[in-house]
Amino acid sequence: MKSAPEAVQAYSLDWLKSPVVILIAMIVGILAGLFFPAFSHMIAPVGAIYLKLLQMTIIPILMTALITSVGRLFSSESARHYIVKIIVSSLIFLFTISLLALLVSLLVGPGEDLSKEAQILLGKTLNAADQSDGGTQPGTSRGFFDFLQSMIPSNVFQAMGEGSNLSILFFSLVLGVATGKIGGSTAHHILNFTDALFKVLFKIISWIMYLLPFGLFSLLASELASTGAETLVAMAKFVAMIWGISLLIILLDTVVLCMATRRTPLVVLSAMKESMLIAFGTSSTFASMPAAIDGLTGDKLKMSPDIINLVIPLGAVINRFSMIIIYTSATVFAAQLYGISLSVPDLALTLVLSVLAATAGAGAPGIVSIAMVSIVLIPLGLPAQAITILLLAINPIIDPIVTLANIYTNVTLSAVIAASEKSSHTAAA
Amino acid sequence: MRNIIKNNFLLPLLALSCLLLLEPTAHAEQTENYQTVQDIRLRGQLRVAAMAEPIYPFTMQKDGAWRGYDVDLANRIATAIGVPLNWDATYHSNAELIAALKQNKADIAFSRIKRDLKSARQIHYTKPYITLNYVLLTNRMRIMAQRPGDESIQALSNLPLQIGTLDHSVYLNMAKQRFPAGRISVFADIASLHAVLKAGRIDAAFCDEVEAKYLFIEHAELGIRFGYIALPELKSGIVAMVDWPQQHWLAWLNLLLEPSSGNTTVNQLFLNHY
Repeated sequence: MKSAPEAVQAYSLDWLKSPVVILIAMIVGILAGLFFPAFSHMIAPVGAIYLKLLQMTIIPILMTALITSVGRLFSSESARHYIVKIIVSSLIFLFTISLLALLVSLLVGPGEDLSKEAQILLGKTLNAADQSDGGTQPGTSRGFFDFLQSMIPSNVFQAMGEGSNLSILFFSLVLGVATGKIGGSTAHHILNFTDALFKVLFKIISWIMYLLPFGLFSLLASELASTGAETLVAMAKFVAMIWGISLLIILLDTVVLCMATRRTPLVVLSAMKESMLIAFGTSSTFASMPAAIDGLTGDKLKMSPDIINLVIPLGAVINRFSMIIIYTSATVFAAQLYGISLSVPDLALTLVLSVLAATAGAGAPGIVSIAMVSIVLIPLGLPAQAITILLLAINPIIDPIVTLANIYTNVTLSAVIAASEKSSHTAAA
Repeated sequence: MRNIIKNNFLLPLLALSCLLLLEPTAHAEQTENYQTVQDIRLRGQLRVAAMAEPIYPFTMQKDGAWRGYDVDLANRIATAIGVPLNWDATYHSNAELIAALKQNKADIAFSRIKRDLKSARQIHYTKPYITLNYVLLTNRMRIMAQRPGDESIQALSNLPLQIGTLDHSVYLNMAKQRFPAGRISVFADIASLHAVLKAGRIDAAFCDEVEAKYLFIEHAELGIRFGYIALPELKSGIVAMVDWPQQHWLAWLNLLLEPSSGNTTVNQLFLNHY
């Protein structure tokens, strides 16, 4: 008996995921934001809905990825070895990014020799911000115990409801460790369940990806329409420098990623294109996280899911390379704007404080994170409130590229750890 | 006995009589400057005493004529009475404005006047027709050099800041009260205060929001170096002055000025009149 012929799909929507279509959507969105601001504001809800669809999956993916990978990690003998490797590699990456941003900032000199017009525009921006609602209050550093307290949720369901990523991360890690330590069939069932749920969530992500061109178009258009052109013009050098640093980091990441995965740049970029586009279009590391995991563990790069599923979510919360770029560059900009010369100890302090401030802001929303530049500026005697105001003014323009650099560096870090584990196993064998 | 009574009572009685004789004279001096709105109407003009120096955006010269918020207000009063306005901006101090009122050379004095305890003994202030907040203008770098925990007003209030303010009892008392740890120094006028702030010789300047705006109006780039912290809990009313005996005139003015008080913001002031 012949089997029924397979139904032929009358149409395919895969063209919506094509890089060409996505790129066109982004370019049209940018043009719309620049030249048709009223229309761009009108279609802003489309982008907001798309972002919400992505965000809907983030917490479940974060939890299932962490529980599964940590559970499997702690059910093996080499847990401690992994943890040390993740911590050491993360620190190396964090300080390297900080040093790179510092060196480029010193070389470019974003706050030096500003034109009179630029100074007037900056002065107006600061004055207007000071006079409205009493200005922006600078972020204050959290003490170590405050940080610990904020990490531990009193009600995990409330933390999920509030999107408190740091608390969710902590709970997931603890649950994963406990599951791994229990071992046996109990751990096996739980980890199978979380792994299955993880795969289901990825199916949902793949459906959402069909809406990517529409979402990117709307998000970019509305962001650009809301950006104040005056401050942008005054800080053009700083903005261009941030873009330059981010692109340099992405370039270096690509080189390292190619070495770690033993693939060509074309294959690597092709595998990571979705996560890069989502990161750039949404300015959300978390929104791009599922696509980043998929890119690394998929057919093109084939990295170990256990490592990737652990390091990417962990890095998305804790390794905030984007904030390091901003804090370091903003410190150099502030020193030059106010005519302060940074000594070698000041530069070393900038390097270290940028990393600490970025880590301390884990889980904090965007605006709060920007305000935490005060952790670096205040010890150096630089006016934090003024710089925070200027950073917030240009944030819509720099956020896409620093977010892209952030997720891409996390991807590279994960790949490096996964590759070193692979070579360790190969060497042991 | 009769002589004792006569002697002990006669002298005080004589003194009292002299006082009674003098008192009507004093009373006559007061009532001489007494006038009502009708008196102004009959005189045929509203005489306003104002400072010779422009005080933006309250009084300033434009195209050869006096303009500004106070001038507009004076015109409104004159129109309400039904007489033309005589704007006499030839005075150079608060004391001269008061003297003009007392000598009946002016019916009312304008020029962004603030209530002062000393002057209040001699003249009447109208109710405020504009209310301004006080502001702390900060030298951002000098403040940061003191390593405050943060730049909030609460943190700054506890620092021993060198604060400059105007030589006026209201400013001085408010500054001392608001910044108990601060070292307050006074300056004759707002131009001197701004000059000292710009020269970096003080940490902050305590003034009202119009005076604060003067710093940035021609030099917006100063917003980079100098911060602006509003103190909404401290307010200052801008008033006009009339002579002491003129109760009816004062009551009528307060009735006219009442609807306009609190409706104008500083930004609107500068937008409309600068």
